[in-house]
Order: sequence, then C-alpha cells, then structure tokens
Amino acid sequence: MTGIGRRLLLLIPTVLGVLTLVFFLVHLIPGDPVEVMLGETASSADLNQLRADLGLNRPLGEQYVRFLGGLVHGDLGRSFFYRKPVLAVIGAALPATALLAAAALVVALLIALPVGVIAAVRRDKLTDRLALVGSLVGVSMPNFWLGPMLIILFSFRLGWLPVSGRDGAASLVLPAVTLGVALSAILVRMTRASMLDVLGEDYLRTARAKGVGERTVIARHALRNALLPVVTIVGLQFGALLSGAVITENVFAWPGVGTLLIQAITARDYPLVQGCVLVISLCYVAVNFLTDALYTLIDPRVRS
Amino acid sequence: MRLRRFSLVVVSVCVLFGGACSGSKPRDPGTLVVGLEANPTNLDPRLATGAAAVRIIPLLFNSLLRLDPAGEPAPELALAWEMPSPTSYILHLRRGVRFHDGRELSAADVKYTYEWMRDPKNHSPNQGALAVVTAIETPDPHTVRFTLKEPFASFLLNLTLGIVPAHLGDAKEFAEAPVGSGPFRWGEWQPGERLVVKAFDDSWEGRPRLDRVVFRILANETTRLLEARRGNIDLLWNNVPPYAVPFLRESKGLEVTTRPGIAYQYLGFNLQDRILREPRVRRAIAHAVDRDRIIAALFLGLARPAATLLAPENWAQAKDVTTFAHDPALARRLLDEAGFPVRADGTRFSLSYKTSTERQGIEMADLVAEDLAAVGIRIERRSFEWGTFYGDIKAGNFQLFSMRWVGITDPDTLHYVFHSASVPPTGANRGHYANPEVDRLLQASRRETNPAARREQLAAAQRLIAADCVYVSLWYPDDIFALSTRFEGFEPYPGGQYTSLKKVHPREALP
Repeated sequence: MTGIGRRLLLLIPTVLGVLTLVFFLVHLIPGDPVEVMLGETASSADLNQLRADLGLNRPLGEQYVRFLGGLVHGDLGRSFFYRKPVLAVIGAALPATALLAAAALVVALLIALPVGVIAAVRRDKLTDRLALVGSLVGVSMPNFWLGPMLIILFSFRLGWLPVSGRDGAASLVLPAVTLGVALSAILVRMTRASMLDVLGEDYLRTARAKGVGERTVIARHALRNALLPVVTIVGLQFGALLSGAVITENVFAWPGVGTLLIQAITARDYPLVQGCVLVISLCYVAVNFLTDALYTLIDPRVRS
Repeated sequence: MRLRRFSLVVVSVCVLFGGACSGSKPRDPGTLVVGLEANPTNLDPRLATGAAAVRIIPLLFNSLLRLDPAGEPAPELALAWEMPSPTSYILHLRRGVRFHDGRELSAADVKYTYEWMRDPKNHSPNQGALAVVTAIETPDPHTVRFTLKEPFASFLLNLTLGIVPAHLGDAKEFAEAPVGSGPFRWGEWQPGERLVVKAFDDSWEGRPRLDRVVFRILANETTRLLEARRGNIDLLWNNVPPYAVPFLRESKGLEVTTRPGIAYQYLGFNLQDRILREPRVRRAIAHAVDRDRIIAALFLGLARPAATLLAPENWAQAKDVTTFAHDPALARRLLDEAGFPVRADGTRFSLSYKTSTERQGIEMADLVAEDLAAVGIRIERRSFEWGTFYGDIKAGNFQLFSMRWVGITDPDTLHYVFHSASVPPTGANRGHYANPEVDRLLQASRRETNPAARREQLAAAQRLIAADCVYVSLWYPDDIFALSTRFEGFEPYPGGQYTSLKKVHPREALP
C-alpha cells in the first residue's frame, strides 16, 4: 500500500507542472481575448477596462498565483465567451469524451487481444504475418484520414451508420473505431510479444502435461500472465487516445472536451483552455495511477 | 471466469450497436436542419460577437430596423422614423408586438437594451459604435428618440441590434435561454453540438411555416459536406467551398444556388514597410496578379473581379476607379523604375505573405506567389492559426496578407478601413495608410445628410484609395447555398443572416 501512497503523492508535482506549463503557454500565444470579446469597434479605454475586470492587466506572475489560488478552492474561473464557470462548461462536455475514450478502448481491446493471441500461437505462419502487417497499417493511419474514409465507406456508400453527431449508440461506432484502431495496432504487437514470452514458460508445459485443454491453457494460464505489459501500454497510450480524441471529435462533430478545446483556443478563452488541458491531463494521470493499482490486482507478486 | 464476463460485454456491445444500425428515421417535414461551421457561443444580442451568433440572432430577436436583402435599412419594430435635426432620430414603434413570454414590447425595452449596451460595466461589443449617442428618451410607450453628439450618416445601421425584454434582460441565465420577439423562440442548446429554435405562434409577422430549425455544429468541412450529400442537412449557407459545388450538385435532394456576393477579398500591404511604401511596387504587384486565372482555378469561376471594397450592388460604389489589368511586362518595368532590378539569383526581393491555416487562403497564397515569381518577387508564405494570424495583422506585424471583408453594406466602412485615424485598435487601417484628402472626404461624408453629395464624397475617396493602391482588390466571391429540395423560399442576406428562414416552407407536394 505504501507504493500506492507514494504514487499518489507524486501526482501532486506532476499536476502542478502541467498546470504551470499550460498557464504560461496559453498566455504566450499571440492574440488577445479582449479584442475578440469587444469586437472591432471598441475603444482602447473599453479594452483596458475589460482587461482590468478580467485581471488580464496584472503581471503574469500575479495572474498565475491567482489562478492557483482559485484552483485550491475548486474554481477554474469563468469562460470569457460562454460567460459561465469553466467547470460547468467542461462538465457538460466531459461525459461525451469519456464515453468516446471508453468505447475506443473497448474497440482496441476487442481487436488486439484475439488477434495478438492468435498471432502468437501461430507464430511465423500466414495469420501471424497478416496480423503484423495489419497492425503496421493501423498504426500508420492518422485519425483525420481514417475518420473520413470510414464515413465514406460505412455511412456514405453502405448507409449503415450515421455520418456524424451524437445520436444513439450507432453514432458511437465510427468515432470509436477511428480512435481505437491506432491503439489496437500497438496492442496487437504488445499482446503477441508478451504471449510469445509466456508461451515458452515451464508452467504451461506442466498444465498441458496435467491434461488441461489447449484453449484453457492459452486463455487462463498464458493470457492472464501476458496481460501485464499490455495493461501498462494501455495506461501509457491513454494520453495518445485523449489527444486523438480532439481530432476524432472534430471529424465526427462529437461534442466533447476536444471540440471545446479547439473552440477555446481559437477564441483565446484562456480559462477554458486551461480548464480543458487540466481535465485532460488529470484524466491521463488518473488512468496511469489506476494502471499501477490494477497491476496489484492482476499480479499478486507486485503486492509484496 | 473473467474471460467469460469479457465475452459477455463483447456480445452486448455488438447487440447494442447492431440494433441501432437498422434503418434511418424518417425526417419530420416541419423541421429544417442547418449545418453550421462554428459554435455560436453567446446568443444575447447585446453581447454576441461571433459570426455564427450574429447570423442566428435575427430569428430570435427583432430590431428597430433590419437590413433587407439589398442591405438597406427597412422597418421592423420601428414602423417609421424621422430626423427633426441631423443629430436627432425619432422612431415610431409597431404596436402589439409580443415577446416569447407574452409580454408586450414597448419603448422602455428599447431604451433598456440600448442603455445596457452603453453601460461600460457590461462590456458590450456594441459600446464603441454607440458612443455617438448622448441620450435616449421615450416620450410615450411607442416612441423612442435618440440624440447624437454629432451628425452620423450611418447611424441607422446601429438600430439593427436585437431588442431584449427589460423585465428579463438582467437575469443571469438570460443568455442560456434568450427571450426575444423574433419569429422563432428558444428550444434547446447543446453547446458545441446543436441549437434548436421553435416557431413562435404569436409572432407579429405570423407564425413561421417551419415548426423547428435545428442548427447542427459541424466544424469539419468534409463531414459537413458528406452530411449534406447524405441528406441529413437541409441548408448550408456561406460555408460551401466552390470546389464542393459539383459534388453537392450530384445529389438529387439538394439544390445548389450561386449568386453574386458582396464579400470582398483583397491583398493588404504594410505601407510602413521599406519596400511596400513605394507606390510603384504596389502597383507592380497589382498588375502581376492574374485574377482571372485564380478565379478560374480556385473558385471554378464563382467570383467577380473587384476594384473597390464596396460591391457593385452598393449605392455608394464608385464606378470609375483605377483598375490594374494583368500585365507582367508593365509590372517588371514598374519594379525596375522603382529601383528593384533583378539580382543574380533571378529575384528582385522577397516578401512574407501571411495567411490563416484555412485551406482556400493557403491555396490562394500559392497562386499569387506564382504570379509574383513571374515578375521576380519571391514570396514566403507563412500560415498561422487564426488568432495568431489576426493578432499579427492588427499589430501591423506583416508585409503582405490576404483577408476578406464580409457583409459590408455600410459605406462608412471606408472610414473604418482607410482613414488615418483608424489604425488599430481604433479601426482596421492595418497598413497605416494616410492620405489627408481621403481623410477629409471620409470625415465629411459622415456628416453629410444630402445623399447625392455624400455619394460623390465617398466615390472621390474610393478613387484616391484605388489610385494609391492601398489594397490589391481581388474579387467578390459568389454566395453559395445548398437547400434541400424538400423546402423552398430561402433568400440569402448579405451579412449571412438566416433571417429568411421565417419564410422558408416545405415544398408543396407534387400532384
């Protein structure tokens, strides 16, 4: 348990580092939210007044301290453009992104686990080669290309699925596949490699010698042990999944945090950009923490 | 055990997806779906800034006057107006107009709305435009009087802002469910996803014939076009690129209409630049650009060559300004005369050309660069994310850039763009152009109440601006809209507003 406690403590500097980086990067990009808000005809007196009201005229260091201060109280500030608390704006978009990421993960695992296991069992045979080539293709296709291609095939030519938007379970399929494919490609290779390591182990020979059926050997004895590195990779790749979600949401008009983030950057809505990045990085950190915790569940050896 | 649970999840997911896949729902004949390219962030007419919001607001709110499709002020809440003096406007309000909550609209609501926008603490983007107002009075519930600091010929255009009910306007959640008196009332809003407005039964204009209008936000262009082609979008207006016109026309369910537009595309110069402050260099660049070639290649012919910021439809457009025909030989001669001979590497000088990351802007920059290379000018194209690009342009941090003026019907825009006092942040004279005679003419045109005299002042200013080659006037892209054949009656407004949706109706069934 001390392991988990230490990891929890380590989260604090990580998150603080992310926040600091985001705060300064966002304020460094050229462009002025006040000019966007007040429009073309505003006088410089009006601009200065609004800057003062939003606290944007203060030294950056002071703004940073205020930002952290608000954060301690769970206050991420107000969105300049929605004119609502950032937390409320993000809260409305977060479930959509969470659903998309979870579905993409399911898609990735549904593809990767069976393909990876089969490829390992039939090592160097045609199926194995196909799986490896397939994963190379999968990892090479960018989301912004794969998404439209899937739309053209499944929505446009075949008419099976909606083009975009969030309207029932069917509308989740294409975005989830688009987002999940790259991850699945990585996981196929990981599962295969990990299974190959395990398949040569003595305890599998023992199990077979005891008369355990081959399916049970693979599924229960081999896969369970092979899963450990796969889980680690899932955790590490979760960041890629979230950044991929930004593009996927744009392609499929999926109303999540990614869509919100793009809008916020375009409008120089500093508090909203900070909020979105904070939420995304918190998710990443949390998933990696959970991954570590999951380790202890899957592998009793880690507990000791 | 674990594996069995896992396969159970797999099966249920498949069933869930499979079940949802079967067949698409029949479309409700009274609902029209619009594809928007950007999210309207705030639909309170006192605060709205983005184009997406400004285009939708006329459906929810009425204004004292509105711009008709030709861009001229026409009666809306104000039935008539008079000017007892050049600084006084009296408007007589229509009676029996009701807000969506049933309350009657009166002069007090008008006064409230305008006073609210003038109050500095509210940070309205319209505050600057209303600075010319000194008093707003309501002699009776159906009359409003505006008093101005000084005569301002374009003041009527400030009366096209939506009127908000005084009894609701201060509520914190007003922007989340705005109440106006327009032909449609608030339905639902899923930010970033969709906005729904519903027919207002008691509209003074009569109930709209559409029951609902759904605005779907589709930021990705490819997705937007595929949705339209698939029949899921009934109207795309001002967000169809010319290259997509043939693609959409292949669809039987869509009718694509193109007509001359008034958006004005130009190449802007930084007149403080060492090279570009030389007028012969600017004229050479104007002669080097082959507009016809770019219009054919990039717009598939769907644009008209331009000579001045105001389109031919505008009453104030000058018809006899200097134009710059494509003439590379003349361009080379001008550059030689200006003291920029061809150097050993085959070029005369390099210029940076800034553009946003928008695809059409980048392609256009490349075509312009080809034309300029032919006369020995090397172009470094630099494209930036919109906010950065726009920030640089306003800060004067550029040599060449291209942008558009969209929906310009007010000739006073010339003052805003070319008067020497209009350098940012006051106005949009981003190239720092200064010509005392232009300043004098534009200033005088603001106070001129005789339309003929004003027209002559504005025309003289346009002639000087064209001769000085402050901008390279490029073209006016056509307006393009795609409407489902299930509907008819859409009329495009110059500012891109969706106003005419109040008249759109399902096409009568054929016998």
